[in-house]
Amino acid sequence: MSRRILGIELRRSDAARVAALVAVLGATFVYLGAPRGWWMVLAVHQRDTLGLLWPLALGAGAWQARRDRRSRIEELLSATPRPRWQRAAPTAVAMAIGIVVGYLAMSASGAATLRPVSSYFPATYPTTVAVGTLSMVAAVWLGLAAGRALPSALTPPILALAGVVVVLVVPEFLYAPTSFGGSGPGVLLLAPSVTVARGYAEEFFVATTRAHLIQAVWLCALAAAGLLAFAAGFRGRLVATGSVLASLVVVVPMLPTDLSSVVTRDERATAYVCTSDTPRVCVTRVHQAALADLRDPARQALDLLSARLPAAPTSVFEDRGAPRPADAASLSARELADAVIIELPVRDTGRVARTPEQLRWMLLAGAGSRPCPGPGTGALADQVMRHYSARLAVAAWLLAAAPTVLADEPWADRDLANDALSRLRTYPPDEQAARVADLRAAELACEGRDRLDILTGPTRPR
Amino acid sequence: MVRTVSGAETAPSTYAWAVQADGLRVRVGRHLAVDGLNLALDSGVHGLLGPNGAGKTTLVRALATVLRPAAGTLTLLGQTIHGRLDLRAVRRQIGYLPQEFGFYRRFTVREFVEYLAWLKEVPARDVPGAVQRAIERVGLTDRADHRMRTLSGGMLRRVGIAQALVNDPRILLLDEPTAGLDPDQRLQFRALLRELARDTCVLVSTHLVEDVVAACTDVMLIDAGRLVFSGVPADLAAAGDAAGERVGAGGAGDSAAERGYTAILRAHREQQGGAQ
Repeated sequence: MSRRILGIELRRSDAARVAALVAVLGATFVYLGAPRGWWMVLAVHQRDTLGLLWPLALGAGAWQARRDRRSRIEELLSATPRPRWQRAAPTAVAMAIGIVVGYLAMSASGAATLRPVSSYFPATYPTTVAVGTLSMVAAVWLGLAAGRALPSALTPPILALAGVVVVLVVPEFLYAPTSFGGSGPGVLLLAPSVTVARGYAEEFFVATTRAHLIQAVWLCALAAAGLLAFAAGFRGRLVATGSVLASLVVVVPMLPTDLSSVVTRDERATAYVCTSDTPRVCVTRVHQAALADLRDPARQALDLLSARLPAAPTSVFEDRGAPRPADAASLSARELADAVIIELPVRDTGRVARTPEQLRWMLLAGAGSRPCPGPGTGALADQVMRHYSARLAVAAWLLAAAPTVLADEPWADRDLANDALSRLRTYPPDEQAARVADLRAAELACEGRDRLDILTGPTRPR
Repeated sequence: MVRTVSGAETAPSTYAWAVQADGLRVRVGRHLAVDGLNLALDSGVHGLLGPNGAGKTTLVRALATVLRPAAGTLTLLGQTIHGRLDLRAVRRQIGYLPQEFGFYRRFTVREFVEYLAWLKEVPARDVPGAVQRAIERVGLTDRADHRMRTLSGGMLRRVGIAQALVNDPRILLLDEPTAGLDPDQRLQFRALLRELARDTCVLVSTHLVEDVVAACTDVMLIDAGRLVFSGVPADLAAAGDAAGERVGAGGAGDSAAERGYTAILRAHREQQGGAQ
C-alpha cells in the first residue's frame, strides 16, 4: 500500500473527523458517568459507552464508503487499472487508524481523570480496552462494507440506528445487574458493549479469559468480513459471509448459558489487607483506604461481643463476594463463626460510606452474624420482617440503645424490634445473653427457627 | 526532467492502430447507442462530432473500457477487448475525462491528480514529477495546493484534463473537454492538443465545430450510433461550401465548417428517411 496515498486518505477522508468525534463524545459520556476510584469501574463504563460509539462507527464507515457515489467519481474510477482491493485498502486503513486513535484517546482521557483509590492495576483493564478497540475497527469496516453495498444517503443513519438497537437496546433489556457481577443470556457476549463484570461491585469482578476470547474471535471475524466485503469483489463478499458463519460455528459452542458463569472474582483485587495488630480487621486490597474507617468501629463491636457473649468472634472481615456470582456461599461456616463479615459500602474516594455509628449497628446486627437465609430467597415478607427485626433487637441490646433501622438491613421493623428488646430485657441477664448467643448460632447454622421466638419465645435456651 | 523509461514504452508497437473498431455495437440499457461503427485511429487529434444522443459519449465510454462491446470487435493497442480479458495493461495506457467529471471535494488539486496517477499504476518514483507536469500543462500550477471544492468550473475541467494526462497515455479520451473554458483557455487547450497529437491518439468528443476545425487532424461525425462522415476538417468546410451553392440543400451555420456539419447531417437523415 502506498504510504503517500494513505497520507492523503488520513488527511482528506473522514478518518480525522471520526477520531475527533469518537474521542470527544466518548470522553463526554465517560465524564458524565464519572467512573472513579477503580480501574475496572472505568473499563466497564468505557465499554458501556460503546452502546453509542459503536453505532457511530458503523454510520461513519457507511458515510465514508458513499464518497465515490457522492462525488460522482465512479465513472472515472471504473476506467483505472488498479484493482478494487488495492484502492480500498488506504481508505479502510485510514478509517481504522482514525477510529483506533479516537477510542484510545477516549480511554486515555478516562484514565487521566480516574484518580484511583487503590494502587492495584488489573491486568484485565488493557484487555478490556483492546477488545473495545477491536470492536470499533470491526464497526467501521462493517460500515464501509454496508455503505459500498448500499450507497444511499439513508444507509448511514439506518445502519447507526440498527447498531443502537443491537448493542444498546437489546442488551439493556436482557442484562440484569446483580449485586455481585451480572447476569443475562450468554449470547449477549456477541454485543461488543457488554462487559460481563457489570454490576455494583465492578472492582471485585473480572471477565474470564474465555469471555475475552469469545469476543475477540467474534469481533476479528466481523472486522475481516467487513474489510473483505468492502475491498473485494463478489467472491470476497462470499468469503466475508463465510468467515462470519465460520466464526459463529467456533464461538456459539463457547458461549456460556448465562453471563454470570464467565464472571470471576479477581483474587488479586480482593486479597485481604489487615491491621498488623489484633484483633484483626481486614478489607479487600481495592478497598484498602477504607480500613482506617472500619478499624475502630470494628474493634468496638468486637469488644461488645466478647464482653457479653461466649465464643464471640475475634476478627472483622469485609465481604468480598462469592468466587462466582452463581455460587451460593461466599464463606465457609468456620470463617463465619470466627469473624464478623461485613458488606462494606465504599465511596469512589476510597472511604467508607457509613458513619462509625452506622458501622457499629451493621456489625452488631444478629450479634455479628450474616443473615441466613438472605432476603429474597422465597421467604414470606412477614417472616423476613421478623427475621431482621430480631437481628436489629440484638444489635440494640448489645449497644444498649434504641433500635435504629439501617439502610443496609431495611427489612427490619422498629416497633417489632423495640417490643422484642423490651421483652428480652425482662429475662435474667444470663438468659438474655444465652438467647442472643442462640440467635447467633441459629444464623451461623442457617437454622429455620423463627428468630423472634428465639429471643422472646417460651422455650428457654439450653 | 529525468524519468525512467520502461521497456514497454520503447518497444515498437506491434499493432497498426491504437484504436480499431469493426462493426462495433454498444448497448446502453436496451438501446443500441453505438450501432455498427467502423473506426481506425492512430496518433493525432480526432474530433468526434454529432448531435445530442448520437452515441458520442457511449462510444467514448466503450473506448475507455467502462462499457463492454455488445457485438463487433474493439481493439485497443493491439488487445481485443472481450469479457475475460484482464484490462489492467490496457487501462494503464488510457487517459479518460468523462463527460461528467467527478472529484473528491476535500482533496487538493495535487492530491487528486496524484491519487489518479496511483490508480493508473504510474510507478511510484515517477508520480511526483508526472503530477507536476500534468498540472503545469493545464496551467494550474498556482492552484496546485488549493482544495478541489474551491475551484471554478473551468479550473475543474482543467484538473480533469490533467488527471487524464498524468499517466502519459497512448490513448487519450476527452468527452466535452472545453465545456466551461473561457476563450483564452480554449486556445491554450488547442495548443496542448496539437502538442499531444505527435505521439498520442487523442479522441475529443464535442459539439463545438470550431474546436474540431481549429485543433483536430481529422473529424468523424456520427448520428444515431453510426459513422456518417470521416475526413479532415477541410473536407467538412468544403461540404459546407458545396452545400451553400446548391439552394435548398444548404446547412445552417456561421462558418463553412458548421454549415458542412448541418448539411451532412441533414443529407444523411434524408437518405435514411428515404430508405425506410
